[in-house]
Amino acid sequence: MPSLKAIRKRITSVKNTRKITRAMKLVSTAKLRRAQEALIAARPYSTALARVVSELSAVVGADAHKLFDERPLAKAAIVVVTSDRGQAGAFNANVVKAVERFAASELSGATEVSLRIIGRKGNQYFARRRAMVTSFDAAPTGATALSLARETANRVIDDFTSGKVDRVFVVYNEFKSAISQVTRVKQLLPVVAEKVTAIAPAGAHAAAAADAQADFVYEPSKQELLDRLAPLYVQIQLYRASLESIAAFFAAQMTAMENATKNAGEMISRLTLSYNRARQAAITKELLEIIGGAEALKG
Amino acid sequence: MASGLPTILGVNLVTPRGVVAHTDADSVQAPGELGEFELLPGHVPMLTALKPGVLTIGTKARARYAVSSGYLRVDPGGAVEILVEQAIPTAEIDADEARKELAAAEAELARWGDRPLDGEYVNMQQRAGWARARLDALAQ
Repeated sequence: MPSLKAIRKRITSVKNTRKITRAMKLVSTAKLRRAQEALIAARPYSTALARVVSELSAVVGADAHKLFDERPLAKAAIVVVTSDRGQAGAFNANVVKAVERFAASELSGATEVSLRIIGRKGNQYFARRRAMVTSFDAAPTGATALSLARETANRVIDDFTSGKVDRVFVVYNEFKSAISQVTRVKQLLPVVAEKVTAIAPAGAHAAAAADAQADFVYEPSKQELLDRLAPLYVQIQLYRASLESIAAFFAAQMTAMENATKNAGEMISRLTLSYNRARQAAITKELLEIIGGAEALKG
Repeated sequence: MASGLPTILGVNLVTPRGVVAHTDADSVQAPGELGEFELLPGHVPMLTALKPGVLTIGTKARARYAVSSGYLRVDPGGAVEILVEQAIPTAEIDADEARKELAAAEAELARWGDRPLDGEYVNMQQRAGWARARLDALAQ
């Protein structure tokens, strides 16, 4: 049995750990709220943009734009969205597993799968496995998510239009609720016209057809407008994926820290029990010694 | 139109970070892809691309913004939807930061040389464009 002093030290240390995990849980709760607000704030922009891109692709014809261009699959790229830090349960493990599973199944016909990694954790994992990593960026925060999405979008758009890759996917954790996150795999490029239409409010297509007949003015041409706006659509997809990932990260961290706090509490009560037991044993031992001594003196 | 021409534009300025302005105005000046233009009430339905520049909402009570690329759409009902990737009111622009970003991006572009004009090049151009738009908004 460990000494009383050793047990006391353990208890203090576990109590300190519990303080930290409890504080981290509170911090993630606050940050989760902010991330959810950012997600909600992005909604008007993404539905409006999806509507206009859907209208335009309806009047131009979806096959008329290079970002909608469906080619046979030879090379694929995956944008992997992970986090910089851990302590969030299986958050990052889920993403890297989904990437590997997707590459082995759906992309098994591809001659080459390259990765554009966001988040230090994903980078560590794939660097160890010598995967083909084209770029690495730190995980997005509320402040950097937009510019990161823009610049990543421009990179993958160039990869796609220059023929370096034929498909671009994004893998990320989606925030479902505070207790559940789902790993998603989405196709970024080529843009799937039906998907755009699904996001756009109902009736957008009919409205587009009506607009096309009415004297709607397009400046510059519809085709050029689509050239300008389709990249914005890819960008907002990535922005939303980043925001989802941020929210999911804090939700996962919240759950992980809550569990850790609970475990620490259980450990403290177990240790307290064995501390009391050890103390009692010591007292009993001392008593026995005193009694034994007294008996011997009587002799 | 029986009721005469409308005299007010319902303007909605939206970015990925949220709705920046939702207001009624008598005019909108926007940096169109084909040049600066002014939009007045009663405009025909239109969809036009915007490039980074200065957006002014209203003539009497003016609100000025630096905006990056996006579009402006006048729907058949006369409502104006301005959707840009970034928008910042002039009062919130940090001139030093914009100047620094512009210098850095221009230096990078000047050094580009024979490197392929890929996504990174587009990124640098956009950084420069956004910095210039903010400085222009301050200059006006």
